[in-house]
Amino acid sequence: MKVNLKINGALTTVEVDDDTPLLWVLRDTLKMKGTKYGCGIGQCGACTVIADFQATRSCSLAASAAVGLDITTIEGLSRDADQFVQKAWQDLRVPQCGYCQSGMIMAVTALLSKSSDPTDDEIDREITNICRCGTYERIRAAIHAAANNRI
Amino acid sequence: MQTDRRNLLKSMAAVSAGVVFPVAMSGCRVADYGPATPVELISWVVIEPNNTVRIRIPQSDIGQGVITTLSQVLAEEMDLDWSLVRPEFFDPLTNLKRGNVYVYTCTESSWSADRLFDPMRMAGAQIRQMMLIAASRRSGIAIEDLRTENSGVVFPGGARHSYAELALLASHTTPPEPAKVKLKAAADYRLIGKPVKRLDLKQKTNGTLQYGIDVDLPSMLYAAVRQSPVYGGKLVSWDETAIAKMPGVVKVVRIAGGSSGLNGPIADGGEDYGMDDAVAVVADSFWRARKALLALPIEWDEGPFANASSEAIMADLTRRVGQTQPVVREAGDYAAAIGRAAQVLEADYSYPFMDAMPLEPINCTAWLRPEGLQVWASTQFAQDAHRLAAVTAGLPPERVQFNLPYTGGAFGRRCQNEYVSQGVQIAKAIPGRPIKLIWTREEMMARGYPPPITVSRFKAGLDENGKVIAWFNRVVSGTAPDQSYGPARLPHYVPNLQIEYARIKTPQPFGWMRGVAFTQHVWMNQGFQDELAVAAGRDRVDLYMELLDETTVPADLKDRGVAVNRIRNMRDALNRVTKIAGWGERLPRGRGRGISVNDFSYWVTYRTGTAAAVVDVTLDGKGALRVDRVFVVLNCGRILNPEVVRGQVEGSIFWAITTALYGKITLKDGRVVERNFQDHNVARLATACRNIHIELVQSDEHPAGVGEDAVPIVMTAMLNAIFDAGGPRIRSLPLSDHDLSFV
Ligand code: FES
Ligand code: FES
Repeated sequence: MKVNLKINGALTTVEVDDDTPLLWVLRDTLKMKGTKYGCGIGQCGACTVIADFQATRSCSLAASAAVGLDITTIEGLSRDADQFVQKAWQDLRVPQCGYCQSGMIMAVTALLSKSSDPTDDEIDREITNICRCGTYERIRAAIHAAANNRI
Repeated sequence: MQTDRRNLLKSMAAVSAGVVFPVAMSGCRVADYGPATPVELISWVVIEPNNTVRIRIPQSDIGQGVITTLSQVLAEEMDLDWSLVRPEFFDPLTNLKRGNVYVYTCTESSWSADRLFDPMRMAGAQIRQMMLIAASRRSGIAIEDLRTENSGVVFPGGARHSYAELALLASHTTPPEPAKVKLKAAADYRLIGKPVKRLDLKQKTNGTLQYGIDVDLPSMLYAAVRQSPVYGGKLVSWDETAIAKMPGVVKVVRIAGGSSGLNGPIADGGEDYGMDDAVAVVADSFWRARKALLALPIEWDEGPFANASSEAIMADLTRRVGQTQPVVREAGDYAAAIGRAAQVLEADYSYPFMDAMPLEPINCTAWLRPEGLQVWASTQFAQDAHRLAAVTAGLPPERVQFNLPYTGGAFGRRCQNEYVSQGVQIAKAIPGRPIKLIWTREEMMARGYPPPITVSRFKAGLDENGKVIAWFNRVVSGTAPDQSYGPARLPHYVPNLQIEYARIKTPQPFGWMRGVAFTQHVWMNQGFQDELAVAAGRDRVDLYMELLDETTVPADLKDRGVAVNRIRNMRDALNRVTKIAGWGERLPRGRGRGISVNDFSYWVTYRTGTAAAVVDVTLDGKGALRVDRVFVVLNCGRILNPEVVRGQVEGSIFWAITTALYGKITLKDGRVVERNFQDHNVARLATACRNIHIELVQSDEHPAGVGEDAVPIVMTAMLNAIFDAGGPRIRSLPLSDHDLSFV
């Protein structure tokens, strides 16, 4: 079926099976590889995008259900990796293998859009993404740094 | 298994003999000013006309940062302007053709720095020397009057030539003999040891970094794979009619089991653990391939392990640990000593199957055309992936190009390259079209290569003063290479000691996992030592220090110096960690501390760091556990990049926490029970410790590995802290199987 999507501000129409998760539409149809596949069941958060201001696990959202949503992917955050969360990530040298970090940055961007200075407990509750390299302490520090820099 | 100085010198000689490939010379005099094309120098670097330098990194970057740290090493000796450094992954075919010019290309055992520090400094220094010779020839000025800095040669009076201007001429000079090359004094380092930022930081924050799974080619097809659900099973048949009408399906391909490639270089004891039959569905999108695969009826002959279960295997191991097994280390008269001990303790510890679960799912892209085979895959061992691809395709190696992308985590899992064989088998069935094979997370969990399931029986005797006078340990584990170093390479010389070790065959093939057998045995050994300290009413550090007594090392011990050094390093690490953690501070019930120390001394000549940890936990009495603080001291020889090392220690801490809390793969009816992260949790922000203190010890020793040293000690200290807090003694994993509540 034809699906109309709004991604990073641009309208685009794709031809996919209606149950195709947004993740695979992004990666394979639209060739936007920044959004990652990790588990496919909403557990790891590697596929996180922002849909209407909400952090959303794109592996668990059918493309047909994404119609009408305003979707932002990692590619839509900045031109030169200089959005404030990305910058905090660089300053605190968060990434190791980096594979989880697109999803982390999207989840954190969404969190900071509704809670400008989250507490540690709030971070624990809200950011449930998996990082197998174990960059969690730097992630926590970078969230606080990003929040501070913006205030 | 051993690498010694001799081998290292041999590999350095290989560098010096590095073939020089001059660029085409037609119509161009050597003295012409500046090359118009990139110039390669002794295989390690390519100098671009704009003076950027491509450095070949002969390792996989799996998150440990070698793309940056190994660049620092070569750039240091070559005097490169860091802003002009452009690292790239090595090409296995080039390495093959040039006789292993890159020296060490398997990313295992935390060996990147250890194995490449010397060769890459030497390569950088040789190239720098070639630049000086070229500048001298061109100018007629003696080399002694020239110096190098910031990717150029500086003449007396200040004029300079960039390396790009000299590269062509330099490529025609003979690389100097390594023996005649002077390396920099450490005091002059501007890059080695400095916390430079990773060169890929930006791409790792904007989603542009290319992992294997991101490979995209024109008219590419996608493959989903199902292997025998039971290890060792054989494919009987499948019913294609069931998916004949599904959209986008191109083909169903039979993948033959067989070789999975070596999990390490032959010289270092690489073994081929094999792989099972599989079926792949190829379609025009991954989603369609996966959907069709789920709908495809497949019949398997489940083979000898159809009824295998962790429970039965554990029962078998427990039975065997009650029988005499081969002795791997002994001293004094254990039987007599245990007979006269004032106090005797016994305990059985066990360790389940586990899975490394890197976040990037396994994948391989392959494209077979008349001109040859192209392969892309995230792997820890690109060299063997190249070999395996050629063998699988039935092509001579020169017709196969293996392209190494970035790797989204590996932790040992990607030492196996079975998915490369699978990808190539699929490409062979669909020649002319690139295919990308992706394993689902479910497939990854169903088909891991675990470290061995293990039972470890201890018995020890204490004298009236609480001193350990007799130590017995019998270990029986599942499929693995010889890992007797776990129980037997104790740094202690208890006067009466007997250690036995045996293995049985278990269904899954063996795999490396971050921390290797040290994670298992350091915990078990020091868990039991913790029990001894408690029984003797002694402080753990007191007991450890008594065991770490260099005067107990037998005078006639071969390599006595190594044994003494291990003890000294461990005492030093213990002293340091007790200081930063404030050891001795008493914690109220409900809170506890544990301590641990270890090195990775697999064998006598193995260069290893030493690490110690203190971990504080809180138990709420109702069953919940929190890791409050972690202190780690790491002495890893010369530090290439302290920020990268810190990251590796931090990662190891969370690896240890995950292993302790959740690490278990369960076999039942021959199948892995855990399907995805919903059945096998891992540490997340909420379970991660918020309070971490790391001390990196400054050292001028040769760099040792840093990727896993903190795993065993942090897990051990954490598990011992639970008992200290008033919780149960933990003798099996994971913690999620234990009731941690108390009143
Ligand atoms: S891939 Fe979507 S949550 Fe893991
Ligand atoms: S940085 Fe590797 S999974 Fe997070």
